[in-house]
Amino acid sequence: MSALLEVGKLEVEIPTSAGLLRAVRGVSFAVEKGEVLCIVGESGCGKSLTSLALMGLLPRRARRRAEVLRFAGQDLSSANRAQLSRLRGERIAMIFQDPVTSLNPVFKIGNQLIEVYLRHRGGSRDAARERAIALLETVGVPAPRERLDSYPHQLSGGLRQRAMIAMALMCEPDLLIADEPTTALDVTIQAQVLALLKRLQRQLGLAVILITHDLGVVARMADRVVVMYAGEIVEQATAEELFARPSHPYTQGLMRCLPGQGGAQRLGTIPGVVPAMTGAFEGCCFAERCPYAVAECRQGRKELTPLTSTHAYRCLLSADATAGHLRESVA
Amino acid sequence: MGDDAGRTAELVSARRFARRARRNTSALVGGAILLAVVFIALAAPLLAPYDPYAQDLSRRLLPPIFFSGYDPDHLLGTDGFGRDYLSRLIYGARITLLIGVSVMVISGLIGTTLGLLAGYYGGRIDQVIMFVINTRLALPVFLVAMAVVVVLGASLWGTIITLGLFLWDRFAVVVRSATQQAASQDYVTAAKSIGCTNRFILLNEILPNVMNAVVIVGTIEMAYAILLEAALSFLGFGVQEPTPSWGLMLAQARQYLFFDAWLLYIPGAALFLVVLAINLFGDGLRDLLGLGEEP
Amino acid sequence: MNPAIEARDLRRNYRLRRGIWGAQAEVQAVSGVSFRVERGAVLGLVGESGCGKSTLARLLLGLEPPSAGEALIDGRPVGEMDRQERARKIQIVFQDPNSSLNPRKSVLSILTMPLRVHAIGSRREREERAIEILDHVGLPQRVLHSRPGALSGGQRQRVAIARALIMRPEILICDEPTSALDVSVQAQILNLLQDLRAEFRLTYILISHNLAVIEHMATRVAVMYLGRLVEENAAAALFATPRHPYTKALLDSVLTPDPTEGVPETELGAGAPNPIDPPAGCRFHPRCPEVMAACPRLDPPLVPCSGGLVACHLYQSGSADEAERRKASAHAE
Repeated sequence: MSALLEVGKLEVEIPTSAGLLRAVRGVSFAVEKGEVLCIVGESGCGKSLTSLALMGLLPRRARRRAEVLRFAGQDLSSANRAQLSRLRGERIAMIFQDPVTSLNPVFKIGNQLIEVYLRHRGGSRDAARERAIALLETVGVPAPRERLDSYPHQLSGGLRQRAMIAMALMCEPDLLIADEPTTALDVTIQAQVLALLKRLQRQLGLAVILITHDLGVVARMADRVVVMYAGEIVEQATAEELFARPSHPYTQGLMRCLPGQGGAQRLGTIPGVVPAMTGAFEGCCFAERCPYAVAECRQGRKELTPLTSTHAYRCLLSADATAGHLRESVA
Repeated sequence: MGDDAGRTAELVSARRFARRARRNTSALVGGAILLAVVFIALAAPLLAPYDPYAQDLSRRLLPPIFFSGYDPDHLLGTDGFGRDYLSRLIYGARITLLIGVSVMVISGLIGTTLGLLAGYYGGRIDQVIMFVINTRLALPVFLVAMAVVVVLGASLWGTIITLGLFLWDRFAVVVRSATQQAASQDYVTAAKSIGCTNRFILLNEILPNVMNAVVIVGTIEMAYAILLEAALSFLGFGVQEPTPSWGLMLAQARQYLFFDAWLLYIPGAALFLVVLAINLFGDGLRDLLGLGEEP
Repeated sequence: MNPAIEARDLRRNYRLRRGIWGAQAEVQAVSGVSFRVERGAVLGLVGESGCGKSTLARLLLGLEPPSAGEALIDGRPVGEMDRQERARKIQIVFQDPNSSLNPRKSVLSILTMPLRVHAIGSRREREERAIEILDHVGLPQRVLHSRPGALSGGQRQRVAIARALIMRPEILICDEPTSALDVSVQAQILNLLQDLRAEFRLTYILISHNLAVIEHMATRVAVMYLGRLVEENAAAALFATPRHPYTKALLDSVLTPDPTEGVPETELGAGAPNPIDPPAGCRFHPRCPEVMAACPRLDPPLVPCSGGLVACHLYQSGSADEAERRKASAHAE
């Protein structure tokens, strides 16, 4: 069986005044039906651009290339604008960090939900309306019938995000791409929204690509995880594998940075900054910040090394060598 | 701050750079024309071949160089009183710039002050200033300016002061909203908790951040002031004879419209060129200062 | 000895007008908050957005006067201090260094502004102090003449911390100091704050919605809900045994990086409370999974409970006259 979404050697390039910015380089992954894939990384690692590239929603100046870009057997890179826009919304839906900017402030919630449905599925307005009410109820919006007549600004942040999710689900998509869907929310609301996403994903057999910087969210939500750094995948694994045996020094560094694990009073840090992604690439892009870096790290290119059938990482060192002595690095 | 902020910022700056490069042409062209006009105005006594006030009725209405039968002594011909048209045009540039700059400065001072106060203090002060702004917006500038000139008597400085007292509304509105935006930033709160006085915060923290807006509105208002002066002078409510103002030159050329239309074209073209240059320059500035990018 | 900073029944109301001609509504952003922070302690202030954390910070800084109650630093009301004295006592670091640093000023100008405003030192001396403080926050001297735009997010936050410290205040309020930063940068800033605390003998009030950060940094924790304190306790005790149902819900919602656990299903209602029209009785009762008959009627006061304070009917020793007294005080409000 082939995967729902297949991405092979995805490249995103953006011409800038400082030269060609190679923001996403050689990213390959697949999403199976009904699984949650988390893409995790820090600002500028290319995780949001990756998701935008899938949807064909990159900024105009950016260029996309991919050897494989296939959704449910259909080649996305050769799809024309009309086909793409039918796919978006109907089979692939997207929710963003900030529901304020993604819901149109001048239309009522109900009309926005209904319009999405009518545009893609057609049918009667009443049927669409009933579906909207049912979905708002499913996502836990109290008094959904009355909420249809609310404007986005009349809802709290949590409710707006739920309305966004309802809107994304109106056409029963197969794939939901959620870009930091809970970052702007309070912790209690975040937990509720994530629980809801997980529940819906199980009920509807939805595949989800969840883009986040929060390892807590990753641990609780993901079936599989892709860790990105400076435009590349540095590690991919199932969630259990990743947290049990983080193998790339960057992944390990990220985990040591997390506060609230008790014990040590000082947190581990990753010194240095993300390299500029312009110009020629030589060696490992994490070498400058890596506590284990050796001379060979700065030459050539390292492909992903498989550890198990589901776990791979991009590093010269053996996974045990890096995991063996977790050096506390101090900035 | 959104995720991938660094990347987005880079995207935006790349886009902005491209736009800058393109718009820079307009800033350059506009700036070059303006600079030339400023130079001409400053060096008018050196450049003008004749006294712009000297009449010679024996040599009236000579055609300019691009017509047959022109007089090589008067490259742009002469007007109905036999005054050298080129000299009057050159001296006219002085009046035009004087009016543009003075009106811009007066209205800029008034508008920026009001906008800063309204935007920073808010509340009652804002309400009062907004009322003043609305009152001002309800007045038809041109008619009121005409009325004021009639009462005070038409003169160069009368025109400048009248226009200066009327064209500050855009400054006030734009500066007010820019100030509100700046005042909501944490650096203002930080300055307060450091113990800065309101005056210090207004002048040192907020003013530099609204200056871009002031400069850009300034160019718009300058162009507007120049056009208004020309219109007022054309109707006889502005600068008075024999001062060489482009608007006045247009007014006098009106009676020769059918047989010596160039009398109209020349000051008209000068006016057009200067206003266009100012607008191009302002447009370029807006991009260079990155203001067009604000939502 | 006086505590470093103390809030005594602080209240702050805002008048809101609905529409241009609409009736005025009163919002109680902070309604009756009291606490004491001992010298050298780190008070973690937790609560969701709109619970009054930031207003409380502004009251403590003396940026706005309280509607009632007072904030005291070293036993002196903040309102009675002059600007310079206040600046030497208490400073703040904000969440977003993009917004807290004036983009048009150089780092040098930003750092020396407090000194210039209070006419401290000569130009040379001020510059020397700026260099010295840069060193303390781990920035190289060469950033002195950069604009904030040329620095990374972490560097900018260091500049913001340096500015707050250049007057050598005793108390530092950190309002979500790492929320706008990446995880790896957050760790660096938290380490820096720990170092500076020892170096400058600082007392912190750390406002954060990130409970992991609070647990890592705080010695005491105060939990706020809709303008009130609902629980206060030593950090270790509070994280080990939360008392108030809201605190429990908050702690349950923390997503520790443990893939064997699923997403917690908290039983809180989704309805965010309306601060203009707060619920009667206990303000948390419409969302509370343990709501009782008394909750919608009586507003529970903060009472001592295992070393801390908690405001919940579950923990009130409910004698009849005490309930009466509470009812009376609820009416008086």
